[in-house]
Amino acid sequence: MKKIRDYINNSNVSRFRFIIQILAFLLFVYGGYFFIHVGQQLPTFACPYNAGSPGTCYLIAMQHGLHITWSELISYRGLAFFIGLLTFVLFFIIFNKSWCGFMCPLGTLQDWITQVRKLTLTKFSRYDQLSFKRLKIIKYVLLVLIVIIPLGMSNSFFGLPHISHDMSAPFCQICPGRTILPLFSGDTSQLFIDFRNPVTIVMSSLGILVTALFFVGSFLKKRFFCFFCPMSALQFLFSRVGVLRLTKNGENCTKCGNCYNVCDVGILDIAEDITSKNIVKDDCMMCFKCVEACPEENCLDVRLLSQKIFSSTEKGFFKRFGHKDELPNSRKAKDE
Amino acid sequence: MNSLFSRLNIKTIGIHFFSVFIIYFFFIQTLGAQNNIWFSNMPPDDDQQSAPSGMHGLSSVKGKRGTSSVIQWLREGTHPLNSKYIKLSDTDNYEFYLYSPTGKDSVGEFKRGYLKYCSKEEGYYNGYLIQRYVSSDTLYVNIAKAEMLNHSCRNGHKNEGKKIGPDIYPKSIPAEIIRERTLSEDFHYFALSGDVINYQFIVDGMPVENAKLTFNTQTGWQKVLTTDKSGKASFQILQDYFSSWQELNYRIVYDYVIFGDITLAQTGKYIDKNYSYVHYTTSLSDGYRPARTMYMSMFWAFVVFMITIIISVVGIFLYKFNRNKKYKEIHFDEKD
Repeated sequence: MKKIRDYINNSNVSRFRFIIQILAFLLFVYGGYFFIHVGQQLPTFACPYNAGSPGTCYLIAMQHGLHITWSELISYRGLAFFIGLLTFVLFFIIFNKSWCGFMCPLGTLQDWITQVRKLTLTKFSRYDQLSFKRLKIIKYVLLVLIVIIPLGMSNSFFGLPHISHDMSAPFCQICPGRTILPLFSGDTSQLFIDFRNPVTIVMSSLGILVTALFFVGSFLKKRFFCFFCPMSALQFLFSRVGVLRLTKNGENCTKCGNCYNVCDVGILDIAEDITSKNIVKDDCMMCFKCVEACPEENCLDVRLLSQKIFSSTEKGFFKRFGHKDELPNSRKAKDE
Repeated sequence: MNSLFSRLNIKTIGIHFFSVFIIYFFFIQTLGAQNNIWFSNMPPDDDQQSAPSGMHGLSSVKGKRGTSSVIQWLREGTHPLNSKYIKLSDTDNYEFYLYSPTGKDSVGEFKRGYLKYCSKEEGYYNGYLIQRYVSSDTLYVNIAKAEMLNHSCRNGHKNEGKKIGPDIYPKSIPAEIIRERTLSEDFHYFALSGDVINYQFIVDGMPVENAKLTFNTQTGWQKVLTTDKSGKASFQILQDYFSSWQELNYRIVYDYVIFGDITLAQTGKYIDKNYSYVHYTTSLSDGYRPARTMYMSMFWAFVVFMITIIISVVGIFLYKFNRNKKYKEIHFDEKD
């Protein structure tokens, strides 16, 4: 048992993650062509606008599910919505936020764009802490809008008129997943400006604008879009019930900052916070790079049902970052 | 010339008009007596003209517990604009069949002028009203067919391909028109202007060559084709909706009805009357919407995409450039 644990702790999880990401990308982009069907409430961007998608991202199901009147909310339709939400939580509960780090096709795409940036020797960017704190609110705003707009299409808020039906599934209209993922199936039909009326013109233009920003942003900043992703915000609401966890033993932490330096999203708390046991923050995507980069024994642990499955060790750290230039604090690593 | 005018006195003109009237009355009215019947989605009452809504633009009535009944009205005539709504009496000779997507019969009812059923199963419901009568030595078989899709996204999209396929019932339905499905067709299919739709005319379950198919739209367009060896004919729906973009209604539905006619040498006896020929007339109606190309522009999407890329790249470059402050030497006078 000890040998297995040592083997895992000394292994290169990033390589394992890279393989899983490729397999998940193939599954969520092309799975439908192989008659695979994995459900309608997936906690990841399996976009139904892509013909090859084997399932549906829960955000679209949620937006459709909330397109109901108040009275319907406490009827069979409301029940259907809550069953959908429960299914989403059941999907999510097993892998927690590692859906983002390991399985999201859009996340994988951003990682590939990062690799392209490295090839062009371009330095990556980071938000300063003030901007970080301000910008992270955007995903919660989007999540609230995702809830309010569909409800506002079926109901009147404070006597105001109903929101236009052209705002149906509002997030999907601006989601880069809708425009980009179908391209992998050779479908360019989502790249359009919809001239039906002013609402559709604005929404479809926003969709194209966000798509362009996705490419530029992902090139300069690792996991640029994940920072604004409402799916990440929704997942965080249920993160506490996940059976896969990332825990920190603050007593062993020396605040060396390695974990912060390798974090794609740039979460400073993972290095600074030495009091919290559960270290999964709302922006965390559970890629476990921080565990790999931590040189302290059992400071950061990945736990499944409270059992340690991957821990930070000094031996593992030096095995992974044996070469001086590859150390998280090295100039080369920082430039990348 | 003078002799011609001298012969055209009021009396002869009156006789000519009378003869034309007699010819029109007997000839045209006799054509009308062929009783082209078809099922329409549009309600007879002007006040309800906006009624068709929901899935596939079907007219439906909501009942208790969210169940909805679909209604189709029986009409007589060859054109959607001027076909009259008819009501059959109990003494009229007709047969009515309504098949659910799984082929169950008697799932709905026909009440004098309309068919009604409660939609429960997903897929196409097929309704048929058949009238037979013998005139001289020909048996006339008039069949009105309604093909109605029932789908709710809440039920998911499992086995979509199987459920949208056309079903035929040659044991009870002697002739019918089948709309061929396209490879990309799904539960959300709706015919659009510009689409090419293939129809097959079958008698006793077998395709028939040289049958006349007549396509009539609500806007007055008509096209007549004869079926090929496989009993098929292709119609391309014309673009007949024009609007300024501010007033564009992309959800507008224009009705169309297609009739199939053929006379075959078949001998038999119907209600003690012998016949040597059978004349089949069958109908199928549906709706179509304006083409997506009318209101969707990929060109403007490209423009928005490129402008966003250029502005964001230039903006980021300028931001980074301005942050690199030039070296500035500051001299301190230690004496001060």
